[in-house]
Amino acid sequence: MQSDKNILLFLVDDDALFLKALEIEFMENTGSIIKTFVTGELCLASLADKPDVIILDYHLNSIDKEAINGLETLDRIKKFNPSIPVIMLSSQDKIEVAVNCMKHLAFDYIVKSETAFLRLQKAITAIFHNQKIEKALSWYMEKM
Amino acid sequence: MKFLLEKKIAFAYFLAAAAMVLVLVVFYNNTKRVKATNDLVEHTQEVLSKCDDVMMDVLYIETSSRGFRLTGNELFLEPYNTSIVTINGNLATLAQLTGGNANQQPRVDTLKKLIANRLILAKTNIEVRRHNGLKRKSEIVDDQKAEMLTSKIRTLIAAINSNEYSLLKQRKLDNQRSTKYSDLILILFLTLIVIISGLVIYITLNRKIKHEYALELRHSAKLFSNLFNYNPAAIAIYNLNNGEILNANNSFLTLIDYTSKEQVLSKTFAQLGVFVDPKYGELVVELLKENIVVNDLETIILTKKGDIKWVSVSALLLEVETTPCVCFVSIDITDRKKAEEQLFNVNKDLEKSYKSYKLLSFYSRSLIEASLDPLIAINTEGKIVDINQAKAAITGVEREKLIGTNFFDYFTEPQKAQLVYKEVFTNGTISNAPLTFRNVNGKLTDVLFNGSVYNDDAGQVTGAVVVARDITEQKRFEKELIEAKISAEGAAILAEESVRAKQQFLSNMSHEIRTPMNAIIGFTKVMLKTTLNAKQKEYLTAIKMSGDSLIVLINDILDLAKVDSGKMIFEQTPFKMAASITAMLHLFETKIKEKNLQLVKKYDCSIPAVLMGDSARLHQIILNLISNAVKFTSTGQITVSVQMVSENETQAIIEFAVTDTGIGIPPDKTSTVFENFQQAASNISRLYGGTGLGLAIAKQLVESQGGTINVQSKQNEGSTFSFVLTFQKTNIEAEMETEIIDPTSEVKNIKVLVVEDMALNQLLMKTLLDDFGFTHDIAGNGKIAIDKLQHKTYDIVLMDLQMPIMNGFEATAYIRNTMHSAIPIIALTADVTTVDLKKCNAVGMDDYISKPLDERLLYSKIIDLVKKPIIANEDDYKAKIEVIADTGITDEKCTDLTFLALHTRANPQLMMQMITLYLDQTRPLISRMKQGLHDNDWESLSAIVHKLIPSFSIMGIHSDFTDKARKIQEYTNAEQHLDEVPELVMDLENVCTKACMELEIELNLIKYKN
Repeated sequence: MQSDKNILLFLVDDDALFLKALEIEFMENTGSIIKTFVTGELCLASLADKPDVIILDYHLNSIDKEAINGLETLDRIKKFNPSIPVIMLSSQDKIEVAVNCMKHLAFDYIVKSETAFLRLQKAITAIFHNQKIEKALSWYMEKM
Repeated sequence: MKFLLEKKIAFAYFLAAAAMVLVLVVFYNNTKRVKATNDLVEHTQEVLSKCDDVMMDVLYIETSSRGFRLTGNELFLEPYNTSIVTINGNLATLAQLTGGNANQQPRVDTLKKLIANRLILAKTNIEVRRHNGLKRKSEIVDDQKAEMLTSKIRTLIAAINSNEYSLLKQRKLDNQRSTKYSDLILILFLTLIVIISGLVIYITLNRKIKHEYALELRHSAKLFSNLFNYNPAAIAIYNLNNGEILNANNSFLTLIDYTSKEQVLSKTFAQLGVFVDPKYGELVVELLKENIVVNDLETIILTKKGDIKWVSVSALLLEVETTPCVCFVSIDITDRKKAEEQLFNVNKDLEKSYKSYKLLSFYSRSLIEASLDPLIAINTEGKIVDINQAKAAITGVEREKLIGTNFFDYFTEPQKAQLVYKEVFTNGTISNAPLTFRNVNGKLTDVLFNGSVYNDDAGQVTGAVVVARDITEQKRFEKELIEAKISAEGAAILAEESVRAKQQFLSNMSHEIRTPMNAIIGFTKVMLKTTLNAKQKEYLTAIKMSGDSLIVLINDILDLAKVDSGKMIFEQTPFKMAASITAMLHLFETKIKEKNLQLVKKYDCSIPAVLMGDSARLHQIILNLISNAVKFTSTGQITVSVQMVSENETQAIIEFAVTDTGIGIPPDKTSTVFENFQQAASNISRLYGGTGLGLAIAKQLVESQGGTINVQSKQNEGSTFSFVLTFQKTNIEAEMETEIIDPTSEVKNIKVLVVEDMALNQLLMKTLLDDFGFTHDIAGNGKIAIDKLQHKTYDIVLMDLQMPIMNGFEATAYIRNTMHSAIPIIALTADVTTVDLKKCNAVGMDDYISKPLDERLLYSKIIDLVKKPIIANEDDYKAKIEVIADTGITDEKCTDLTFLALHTRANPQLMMQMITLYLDQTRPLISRMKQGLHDNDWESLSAIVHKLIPSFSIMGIHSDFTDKARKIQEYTNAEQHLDEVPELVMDLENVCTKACMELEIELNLIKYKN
């Protein structure tokens, strides 16, 4: 991830502990610029910063019932700019949740675990790989 | 008919004869009448002449009487005198002549009287004159009277004459008529004769012809009969009225299986037992009646014997004595039919074969044409007789122009081509003769010629067919292949090199990592045995645990790499299975006790005591499985069973099974648990730790030894990992005791020589061995070690491999070969590639142990090799156990910051942040959880608990609480077992509160330290 340095990463999770842990992991292991949000609303408010990747918790309203949930946040992000890749995080390892996230145009769905960080890293790499391929493809298409 | 003709002919003859007779009779009568009439005419003419005579006489008498009376001369009386004489005679003749005629009789009589009167008168006058001489008056009267008389006579005679004349006329007419008639008859007769003779000639002639005809007829009849009877065609004449057979020939009899004609004649077909399709008969008759020729109409008949025969029938209508009949001429064509059928089949076959031949030839031709290889047929003179399109294409010359030309003319080297041609006709074949075609446009094509001669029927060589294989492509391929091969070889070399490099890298890495790790872990352990306060001990434990897990990870990766590259070598050394397993389980005793689990061992006593195999690898496999079982089991027991599956004279197949009562594996994950870096659920590693390599290594190790590994599991109930391995049996006593530790024995007073160049490691070894209670000496290199060995006795040598001056291999070789010492030598190596292990064995080392050192392993290996088991006292054992089972924190703390430290790389700032966050987050959650329970707000309770779960693993809170939290979630979501929820919530609350308290202390500690 040589391009890590330029990456602006949004981490959104209402579990402050996990959020912190994740932040630490990213800070220690990658050179990304990381912004953390404990609610979807805060994240949405900062979309103007043009994040490269958003990592979004599926349950954003377990503490604050009034807060918008992960999916809604996802939808709004996509509405704002559908090209922002969003990786969903959840402690639930359920296929319905995964499918639901995919349906809402999440790039990937990752279960919170010890390996979550590694998976996230992989997913981010995949995102950039995909973007690169897409760019190449569109360049070729234009040429054609 | 003949008879009739005969009769007719006879009758004709008779008639002809009768006619002749009649004609003759008529003729005869007629002739007679002619004669009669002729006589009558003569008679009449006689009468007439007499009358004339009489008249004359009368006249003479008168004239003479008158002349005498006048003259009285007697001369004149002479005629008178003669006439008187003749008159009477004439008168008599006349009377006689007219006697038959009644009409004349009276006249003649009257005449006679008149004449008589005249004569009297004439005589009286003559006498009167002679006597009286002329008296005139009497004379006149007399004259008158005489005259009158004469006239009377004259008249009478005239009457007589007239009568006679008429009679004559009549008679002459009659005569004329008769004569004429006679002529007619004669003509008739002659005509008749002519006719009859003509008839006779005709009949005679006819007769002759008829005779010949009859002869011929007889001849032909015989011929016909022969023809009929001996005709090969079956002929039967069949009465149409009653259906009986009127006649039949021999062939017919044969046809219907009869022998004699009599049996057949006047019988119907039905009576003969011969079946002919009646419809067929009707058809034939119908056709015949309509004047249609029935010829070669085929049908089937059933003969008396029941044979089915095919006949070809020609039929014609005929009448035999007015009986309408049909003559059938049948030819037995059964054989022909059969032959025909055969012929038909043969024909069909022939046609088929012809067709297929045609097809084949067409096919062959198309094959020939389709061939991209030029095909050339040449005759013995080397002229081209036939080619395919490919040849035309390759030479660029049209087919027609090619044929008949010299075969050699199309090559770059005609001489070589000529040689090829000669070889074909000399040897009969040629194979892979290289030639080059020259196209008219100059293009050259490299070809290989293959061909063989072909013979005519007599086996004479008539020509040869040669095939040219275009090898341009082949040559190109060859070139490409060579290039590809070169590059592939290059790539392979590169790949090999990279594999080697990887291997080397791993090996180096392991060495490079293990060496410092050895020191870190070793000194940590040493330090742990010094007097420490609780916190210090805790930190050291954390360091040790981190080091241990790092080493495990490195070992796992190395093992896997070795197996992957096929460099894992399995020893075949005798070992004691039972002792080996027991020792193995001892290693886990403390860990199992810690977790409050029960360990059950089931060992099949029928397993042979000593088996051949790689005990170290077996240990590794079982170790992996048991450590997994221990890791994933929080309550219950772990059962290790070793059972004999089967055994024969040479082998024993043994099944090892490790059963736990842990969390189990979901069914869909059982197949992937053996894959690298896989755990049943991704959150498991978070909760339980581990690299996910243990099972992969176990599987690789088992399968590399030809065994199988399996897992059976039920989620939340437990898993059973089992593997089956085959061990060779042996009679050799296990030379090495594979026992790791015998808990009831203790080894004392072992003198160890440590050969190690690095001061750090020397110190570590020294510390460890002191702990074990062993005496020891340290040697800086192999040379010093040998020196020491020569002056002092040791029980065992721990030999580092890489040392200056004299390395471990050299030293060992010297000890074994020069000193002839059998002293146990354990290699200490950070480099655990197989090459080194082989080297270790080769130079005669007894065992090896990899750095960083596992003190338990080191201890057990030393004990094994020294074999000096001494009953140890309880205290010592306990002390040792404490050392061995050095697992750090054993107090009642519910949190474990290992994970956090690991995660944050023990960055105090981060750790503090994390702990602060935990405290900030958890405390409100605890109160809200209590609130939720109080309000029976299951949904929010579930959400809160959900939020708590990840923090457990981060803060090292026991997984039991995670399970409890999940239970709460489960129950509240389903709103079941709600009565159990308060207790669970209480537990969580307690542990969280406790954790908060502990973490606050930790936080302060970290703060204080920094």
